[in-house]
Amino acid sequence: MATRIAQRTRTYGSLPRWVFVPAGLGALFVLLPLAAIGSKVRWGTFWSLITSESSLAALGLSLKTSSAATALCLLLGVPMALVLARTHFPGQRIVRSLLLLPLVLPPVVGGIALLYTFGRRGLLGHTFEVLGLQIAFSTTAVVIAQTFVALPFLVVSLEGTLRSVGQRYEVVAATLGGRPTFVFRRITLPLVLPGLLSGAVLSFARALGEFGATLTFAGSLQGVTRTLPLEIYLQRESDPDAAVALSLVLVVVAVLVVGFAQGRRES
Amino acid sequence: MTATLAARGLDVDLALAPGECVAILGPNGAGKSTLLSVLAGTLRPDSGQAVLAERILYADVPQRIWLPPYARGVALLAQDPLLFPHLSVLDNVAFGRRAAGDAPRAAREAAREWLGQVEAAEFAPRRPAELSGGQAQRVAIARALAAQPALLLLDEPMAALDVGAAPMLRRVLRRVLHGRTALIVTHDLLDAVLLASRVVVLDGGRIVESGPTQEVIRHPRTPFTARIAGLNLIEGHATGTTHLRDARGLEVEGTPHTPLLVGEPALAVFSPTVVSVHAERPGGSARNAFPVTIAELEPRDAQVRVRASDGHGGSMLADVTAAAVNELDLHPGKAVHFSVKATAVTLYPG
Repeated sequence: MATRIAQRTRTYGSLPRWVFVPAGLGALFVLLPLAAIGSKVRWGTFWSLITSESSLAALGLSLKTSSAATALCLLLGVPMALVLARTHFPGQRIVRSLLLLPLVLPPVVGGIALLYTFGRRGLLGHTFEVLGLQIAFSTTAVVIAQTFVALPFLVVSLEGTLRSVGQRYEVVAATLGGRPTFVFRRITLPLVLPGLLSGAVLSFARALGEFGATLTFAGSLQGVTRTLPLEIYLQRESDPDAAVALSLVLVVVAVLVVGFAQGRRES
Repeated sequence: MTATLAARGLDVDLALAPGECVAILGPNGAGKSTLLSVLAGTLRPDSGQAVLAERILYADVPQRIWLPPYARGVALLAQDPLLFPHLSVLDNVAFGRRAAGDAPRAAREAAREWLGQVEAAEFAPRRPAELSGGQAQRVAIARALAAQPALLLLDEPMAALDVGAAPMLRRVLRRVLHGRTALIVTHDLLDAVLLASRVVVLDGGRIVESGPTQEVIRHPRTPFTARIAGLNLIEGHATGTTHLRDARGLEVEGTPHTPLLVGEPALAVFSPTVVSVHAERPGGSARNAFPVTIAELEPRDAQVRVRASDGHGGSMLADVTAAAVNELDLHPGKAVHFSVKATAVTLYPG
């Protein structure tokens, strides 16, 4: 037979044709606003706008706090995902749901919750005050707010990967004499690395975009707690061009993050 | 070792001499894999104890002891090679030594040696994904052996391989298992014959039969063993020195292998090749005849194996020629008679 099968085989698809219309509208709905930002940018002043003192301060602070929040997410989230994926305890489903609550909670509510935990008159505020620590309305507060909203992303992503990888390799490694910590380092961690990386990237992106909880819990002090999203919101009143320029910066960062996470999944 | 595990209905008492390889046979769900899991430490038994080279693996008296899998020196080789996908073949084999605290170079050196033992030295730099099933399983054997286990457990190591890869693996296993304390779970009688000196048959979580491989094959005591040995087995009580009667009153005449005691349990065994099939009840005094219904016809080389049901839950096998199938118009559902000469039936005490 002389038929050659092309690399991308054309197989029969059972999709109804009309589906393409709402699907296309949906795609437009997402992409159009992004194009709108691009069209509003004044390219002549773009560079000077995003390198102004307040912009650079906000950008620097955002990168610094988001990195710190991502590190904190890894430190706390990896053990959380391990416990959720690899153990069974009574009430586990409820605990998981509660831990993932920040995923669906309005960020403002998260900020208020944090305020009444770490604030001066909060649950732990007094303890911190005795230690001479003022958390609310400091850079630390920004990191805490970002970690609070970003942590579930890492836990969900890693727990899913842990479950899909399964325990079979870990059991084999144990019968070969591998102690739990050794097996975790040499087997578990490398096997879930893709999930861990995409989880970390998602957490970083979520931390970078954090607005509501930060504003409520940390306030908006230039160079101390005013991150890029806060700066954009503020600039929108006084200098819309700057707000648009900074928004574009965040869009570019988001595109990079999504591209990275997608690339990991395909490889 | 002894072990009971109520949840899985396991109740086993087993001892292995150092350097002895024992095959565990049994139908699906007999508890074979559960037994291995208990020994490997991936499953906790309810009670019982196991001692390996004077080390207690688990015990409930005088005190509760349970060693975790990594402290047992018991390696488990499963159906699936489960090579670590992110490590090279060499690092897979070196894993056990690294876990034991060896330096990377020493561990790799030992790994290379073990890879040579299983004829897989050339795969060292490859990734597991680049190996065929048989190659991966050989590497898995090297990895298990490199961990220097005091006991090696093999759970149907050949089951997931294609037919072509099995002989090579069997040869490698035969060599590396020589003089090694090992338990091998298998469905294949050939593995038991080639690799093990003793056979244990497990059914319903209990040991129902045990003995030297040759003896068990030649004189099976359970329908399961007879089936995997490809023999017909009839259980009953001796009614004379050359006769036994089964539970339904069917009389079987045979040649005793060991003297029978009247009234004692006895077994009759005969090969499917000595069975002839008749449409009508055959005459002749020195013949046993069994009325059966054909359940299945299965081509085997130049012959056809006829699997028939005796109508009471038992099955009986006969090997006939294709011409005979045609001539007698054999088909599933047809009622026929199987007949065997008394001289072809071996009788022995049950």
